[in-house]
Amino acid sequence: MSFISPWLAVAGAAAMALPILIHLFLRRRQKPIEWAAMELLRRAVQQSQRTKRVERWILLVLRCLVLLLVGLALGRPATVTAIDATQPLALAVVLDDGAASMVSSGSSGTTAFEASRGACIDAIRALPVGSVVHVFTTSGLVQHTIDAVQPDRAVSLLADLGPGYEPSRMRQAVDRADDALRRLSMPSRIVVASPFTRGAIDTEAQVLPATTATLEVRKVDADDAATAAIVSVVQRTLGPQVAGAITLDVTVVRPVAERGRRSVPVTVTDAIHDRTAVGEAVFIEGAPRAVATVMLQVDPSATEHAVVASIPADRQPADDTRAATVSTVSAKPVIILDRERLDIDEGSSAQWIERALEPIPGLGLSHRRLDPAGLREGSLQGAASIVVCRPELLEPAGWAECTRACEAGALVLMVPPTEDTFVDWQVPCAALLGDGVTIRREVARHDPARRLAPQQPSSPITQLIAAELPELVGPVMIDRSIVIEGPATTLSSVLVMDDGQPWMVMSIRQRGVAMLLASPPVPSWGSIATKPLFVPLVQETIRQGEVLLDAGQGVTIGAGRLPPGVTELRPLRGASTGDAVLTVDPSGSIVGEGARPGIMQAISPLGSSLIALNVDASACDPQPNDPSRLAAWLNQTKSPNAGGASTVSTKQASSSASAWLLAAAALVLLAETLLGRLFSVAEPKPS
Amino acid sequence: MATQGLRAEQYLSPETLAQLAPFELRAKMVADGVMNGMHQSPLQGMAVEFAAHRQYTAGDSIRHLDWKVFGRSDKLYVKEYRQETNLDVMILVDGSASMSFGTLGVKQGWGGTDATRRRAAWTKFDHATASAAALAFLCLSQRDRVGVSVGADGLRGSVRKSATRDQWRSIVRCLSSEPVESRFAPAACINQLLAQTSHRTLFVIISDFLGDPEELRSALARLRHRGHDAMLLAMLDHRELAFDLDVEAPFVGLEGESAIEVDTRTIRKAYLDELQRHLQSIDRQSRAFGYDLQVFDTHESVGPVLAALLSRREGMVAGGRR
Repeated sequence: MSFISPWLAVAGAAAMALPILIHLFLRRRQKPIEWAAMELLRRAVQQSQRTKRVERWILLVLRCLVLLLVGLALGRPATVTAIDATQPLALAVVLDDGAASMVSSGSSGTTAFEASRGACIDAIRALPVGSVVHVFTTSGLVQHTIDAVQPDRAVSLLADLGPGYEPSRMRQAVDRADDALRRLSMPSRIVVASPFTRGAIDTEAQVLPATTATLEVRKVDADDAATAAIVSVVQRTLGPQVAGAITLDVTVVRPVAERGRRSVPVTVTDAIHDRTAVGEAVFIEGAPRAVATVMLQVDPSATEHAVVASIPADRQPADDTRAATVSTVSAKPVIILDRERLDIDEGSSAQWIERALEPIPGLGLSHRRLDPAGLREGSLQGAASIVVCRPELLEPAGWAECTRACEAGALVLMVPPTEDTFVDWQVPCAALLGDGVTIRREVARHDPARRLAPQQPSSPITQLIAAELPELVGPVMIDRSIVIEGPATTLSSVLVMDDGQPWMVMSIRQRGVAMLLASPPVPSWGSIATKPLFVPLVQETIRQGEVLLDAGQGVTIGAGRLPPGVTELRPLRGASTGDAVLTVDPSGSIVGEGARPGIMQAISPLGSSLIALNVDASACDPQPNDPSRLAAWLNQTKSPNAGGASTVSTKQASSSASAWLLAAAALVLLAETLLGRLFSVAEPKPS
Repeated sequence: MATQGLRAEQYLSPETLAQLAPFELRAKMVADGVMNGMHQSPLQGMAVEFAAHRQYTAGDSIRHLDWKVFGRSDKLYVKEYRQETNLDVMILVDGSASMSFGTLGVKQGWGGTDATRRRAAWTKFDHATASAAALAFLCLSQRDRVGVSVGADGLRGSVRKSATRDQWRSIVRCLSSEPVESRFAPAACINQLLAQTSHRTLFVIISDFLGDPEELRSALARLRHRGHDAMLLAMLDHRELAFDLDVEAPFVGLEGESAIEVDTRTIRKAYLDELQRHLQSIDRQSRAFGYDLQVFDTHESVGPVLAALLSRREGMVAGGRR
């Protein structure tokens, strides 16, 4: 008998020594005990110790046996089967086609996909007459591509197959192949062909599953190029132009197994204006994540940009599609809800916020004031960020407009009134923040003044200033604050005071975000407006509003979050999306294959808008992939090369043996427990 | 000197005194004292308490004839009276090495014996000392004569019987200064004590009685033969009584016994059975001679157990009189 995971079986055998070692260790540690009633002790020992010693040895043996059986069961006993070369077979080939890197050519000039397909064809050609073939591909949703055909037919069909571009789900494919073969009454075999490079299996498939059919693994040769994946593109500066350029931070991750220093080129393209810039993400020793800062020259007169970041296809991890993360960047005005600026309102919340938005005159964000009392439906149309500085002046129609804008994807930042004029603004404000949120009518006065906590929770608002945040929050004093309460599922804290009370909170409201400060940024309520924290905090908050609005126009492939009414998606010039026009069904899902990341023109009866198609960022997460474990597993299953594959193994997991071993372990454990109780019945507890 | 700074409260707490106050140490037997005390004397004659009538025999003094009986029945009867006398008490404390066993942590101001100093714990010998001190105090307050001996393979230190004021301090000093070592030979110690004893005496033997019961039986038989009364106070540590250990370790004897490998979990029941059997055997022997046995747990206060013993003893004496 051999094992699918022999090291676990060995570990089980080694673990058997554990109870013995514990026993010996405890024995050695005991110091002699002085005792007066030695004669009584001697008689007692003569009377009972021998029986008890036998009982304890029985228990020790049972404990060792439990560990051994569990180890053997986890090792998954397998039988190596000799296959009769003349007997007809049902063969299922599992072809790994789900990776961009599968199409990259190795040193031999053959792509990994071609090598895998070749291995499958070799396996089919070696079949005796009368055999049937199933073919499964691993890309995206596992495809039962070819169902029970003659070998010659299967070879010709396989030759027509091309690579897929979605994450490879090999474990699922092997399971499905096993299911398909189980229904047949003839001897069966599964052949898996893949380069098994990092990420060539999906994140769940640390090792292949046990199968009823004989499993044969064919590891094909492929270049194991260093890979990486883009997870986010963030615009660093506020506003569209600083000296005619926008600066973008492109975050790139790489597999955990890679530890050394290396760099990955990153290309950023403005899909609308056809501008391109190149940067480089440099991974330092041991770091899984690197940021490439790319400055993209733009037309100063343009107000809207669609940015596609990409890395070369042969550098992408094999288990995701084209790893481009897309962001549209635009300059949208910030609307501040306060009355027109008067000389007498010097020092109001609105003024402090305006100063924070334009620290250097002429280079700040465009912002304008709107009278909160005159807010009507549509007043906030297209706004990315809205700052409510006088909530007490908002009419019900104004609150409704704020809610609509927030749900459409805007960020609404609310600030309490500077005076203690607490009329009923708290109720609609709390309602905008979400269900279950309450704002107390009483203002909490702090004597001595509260500080902001040195350790703040992580949030997207403070992400870019997280490194400096402990220093920035240090000098801030809060003299007065309102008390905001709400369920953690709705409300999250951006900044908290040193007593744990939130000072700045946010809640997700459909596509937008609602935020509230516990004190207005005026000196009579605290010192925040005059401290260095204030400018970056306000700018980061407003920028987050724009990012959110952009994200609202992004769609993850397969997730089906297209805006209502969109009927088709047309690729934008310059985007790496291929040429195909994608059709959208009434439910908002993309019809047909070939959805690739990039900027698309979303066509709807109301007009057209830009849509960013993205891959799921979690598919780019390198964390769960552990190629070293896979390599170790492959090394355990070495057998003579065959069919052009570098490694072939033939194993059949015996799931029933594992089950029997586990059952035996359970029985032994039960026996040990019962005997333990039985033996201890006679021992009185110390009084 | 170890006895310097010795204070009565080290062994005799106010609580213990209060618990013993209602009791008197009464000899179950007839005392043979020479001074007036509160115990029965075999010498009958002029005294305050009438005992019995007896027929006149030649030689009796006619001063004790009961003339009223003679007037009514024309027969000669002599009146006899019971004389109250004092009691001689000899306390024999086991000073063998096994008495130096103890598991109760010693507190500031406790103990002060050789065993305490060596073990840094409240040992059986400390508990024996406390019990002896309490009994001595009680006897002296009754104007009985008390003496003490520390015995092991033979008598070691002794304080002769006396009822003087300084006697209690001498007793405690003796117990505090004697070393606690070697084995206890009760027969040899009793033999030596009997050689020094002329009057009938109440012997209080304080030991753990973990030795051979046969040897103890022979010692008690000699005491009985000489007409003495005895009380046996068995001092055992709480751990010896409960055996609440959960270890597998070698056990070594305090009196030079060789080590035994013991798993306490496996032999607990057998040990407790053996202990029970041993104590029952000693109790049976002592009762056979009409003596009292009381087991003391060294983790418990001396007062209540001693009070229980005295109460029982007083009840027996009163019952015997009736």
